Parts: sequence; C-alpha cells; structure tokens
Amino acid sequence: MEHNNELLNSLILELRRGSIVLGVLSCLEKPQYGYSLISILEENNLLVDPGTLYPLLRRLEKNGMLISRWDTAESRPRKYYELSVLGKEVFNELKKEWNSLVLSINKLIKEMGD
Amino acid sequence: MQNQNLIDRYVYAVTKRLPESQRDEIEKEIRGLILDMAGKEDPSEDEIADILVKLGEPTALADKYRERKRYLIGPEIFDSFILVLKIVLCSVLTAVSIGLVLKNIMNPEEDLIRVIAEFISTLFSAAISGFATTTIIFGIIEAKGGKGIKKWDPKKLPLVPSENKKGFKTSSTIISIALTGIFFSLLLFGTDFFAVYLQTGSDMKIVPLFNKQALLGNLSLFIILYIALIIRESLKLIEKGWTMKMCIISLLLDITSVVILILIFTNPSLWNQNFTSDLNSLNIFSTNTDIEFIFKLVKSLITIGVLIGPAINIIKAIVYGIKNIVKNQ
Repeated sequence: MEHNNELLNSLILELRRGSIVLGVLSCLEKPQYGYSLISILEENNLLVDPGTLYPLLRRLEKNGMLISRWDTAESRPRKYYELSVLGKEVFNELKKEWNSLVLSINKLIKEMGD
Repeated sequence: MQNQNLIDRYVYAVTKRLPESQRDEIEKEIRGLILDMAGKEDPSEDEIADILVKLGEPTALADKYRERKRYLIGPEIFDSFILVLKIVLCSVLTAVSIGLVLKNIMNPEEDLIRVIAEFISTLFSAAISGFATTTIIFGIIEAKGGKGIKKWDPKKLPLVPSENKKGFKTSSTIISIALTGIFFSLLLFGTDFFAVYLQTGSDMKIVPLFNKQALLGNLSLFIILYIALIIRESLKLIEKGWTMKMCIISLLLDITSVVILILIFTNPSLWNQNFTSDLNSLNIFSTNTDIEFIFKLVKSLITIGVLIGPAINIIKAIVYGIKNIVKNQ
C-alpha cells in the first residue's frame, strides 16, 4: 500500500505540474505578487510550493508571457506580475486545449474506464 | 540579529549558485517571500526555520531557478565514461605493474620497501593522469554534443553493419585500450625485454632491439597516440555505430596516429644501431647468416604490426563513410 501511495503521489504531482501554469495564468489578468498568488491558488484548493511558483513566474516572464514591476510603495518591495499581450493570447489557446483535453479524458473515463 | 542571520545565510546559499545577473532580484524575491509566509515583519528564529524547511534545501531551490542542469559529463554519456574510465585505470594498473616487474628483473633493486614505494607513487600519478585525460575527453564530448538544439535527422542514424556483428562491441573497446596500454608500457618501461638473448658459455648476452633513450624521448608522442585511441574508442561507445561523425573523427584520429607511428618507428635512431655489429662480435653465427637482413625484417614486422590497428580503422572509416554518403543520396 505504501508503495502504491508513493506511485500515486508521483503521478498526481506529474498531472498537476502541467496544470499549474494554467492556474497561474488564470489569476494574472490583474497584477499579483508571488505570495498573493499562492494564497489565491490555495483558496481554490490548488496547493503550489513557493519554491516551484517563484522560478515558474520568472520563466514565464523570460518567455514574454508575463510583465513585472517592483512596487516599492508598500513597507517592503514586492514584484508584481501580470499577463502580457502575448501571455493573454497564449492563455486563450491553452484554455481551449485544456477544455478539449478535459472533454476527451472525461468521455474516455465515462465510456471505457467505468 | 540572529533571525536576520538565518535568512541571510539561506538567501546567500541559494543565490551563490545562480548567475550573477539574477542574484539581486532573486534575493529580494526570496526575502519578501519569507516575510510574506511568516505573515509578519519580525518573525522569530523558530518561525523562520519552519519556513525555510518548507522552502526546501538551498541547492534544490537554486536548481529550480536555474532551469537547465549543468553537467561536466551528462547522464547520456555517463555510462560510457565510467566504462572507459574503468578500462583506462585497469590498463594503467597492469602497465605500471608490468613495467616495474620488468625493471626489477633487468636491474634488481635490493630494497623491497623502495620498490613498493615506487610502485605506489608511479601508480598514483599514472592513475591521476589517466583519470584527468578521460574526464577532459568526455567533458569536451559533452560540451560539443550539448550545444544548441539539434534537429534530429533520421538520415544520421548509424548504419546497421552488414555482417552478423551489430554495431561496436564493448569487448573490442576493452581489448584495444588495454592491449595498447600494455604494449606501450612494455615498450617504454621494459625496453630491454625486446632483445635477443644468447647463451654463450655461462654468460647470458642480451642484445636489445631498441635504443632505450630514443624510445623514452618519444614519450609524449606515445601519450598522444594513447589519448587518440581513447578518444576514438570512447566515441565508438557513444555513437554505437559508424555514423558520418564517427567516420570523420575516426579518420582524422587514425591518420594522425599513423603519421606519428611512422615518424617514430622509421627513425633509425629508435633502433639499436649497434645491433648487427654486437651480434657479429659474438661470433656465434656463420658468416653467411645475413644479420642485417634479419634485423631489417624484424624492424619492418614491428612497424607493420603497430600500424595494423589504425590502418584497419582508416579503411573501415572510409568504407562506412562512403556507405553513409551513398545511403543519404
């Protein structure tokens, strides 16, 4: 059983890894900083490890999907991220892909897997 | 103060593993994150420690920031590296042992401790140079192979060998590296071993074939030859067949080897120039035995012998190179 749990956990982790990007992009229509993003995702039952999220945000920025700015108005400087024009386009395409994927998988599970 | 130190140390441990250009920003980011996770501006040391555990080990976090993993020798060629390393170290061990045994047969050393000390120190320095050479070769292969995104081209797949043998055999790699290592060390450390032994009365006369000083003078050339061999054999393990790349590199390496070998072995001073006169002075051969001719024959046979290996490889590289070209047209 323990072995099964381990296997299950690693498969769940793999499944989530790809969907995290979608979760993050969905939240960034409005600017957010790293930790506020974690809180939003958590409220929606999506647990993301900060050690994964922060590098991911940087990567998305480097790819041109996010734009960032440092807000120094508050007590402590925070880096706010927001979708760029390219980011919005990519997000729209990804959403379509996700919806069709969910449809296909659900259909398969319903028809064959049950 | 103590709290500040824990954060400072964590941030430092992460950022020192990152490119300098990104350090400042990532530092600000991580500091902000820790305080955000604490939910207050002045967390206690225990609270900070808990947060740092959640963030994970600094090396792991730095790895996540650093996208591409950096290798001296990557996982794809690591197995081949270990194999070649084992072969090289085994041949170094064999070569040093044979060399020392021969040396002590020729010039017996009284003090056993000195012999053992010499064995250990020679083995140590030879093993280190063997290890360094192999690592440098594989480091270069890794650096050259990993550059840019290579477009996969099915046409560059190695040809399936027409005979019943499939690709390169690991055993042939082991045999070439080990035998060449042993032969070179015999030649360099046991030069006196290659000689004519004659019993005249109670005396044993030894007339060596080679000039020891001249052979040792070529030490660096022998090392180059050995390195060329290790490169070729390592590539065979990695490429697993006669790809075009393998053909070209093998051809270059083996032509260089042939040139060096011809330079070494056709140089008259390499051989014992008194061979004929020494043998004649012993007066044990009848006058019509043409010692000069026999000496020439032995010289030619040894020269041809050392050239056979690289010559066969040159022919193979040309044949498979042509086949590659023909197949791709």
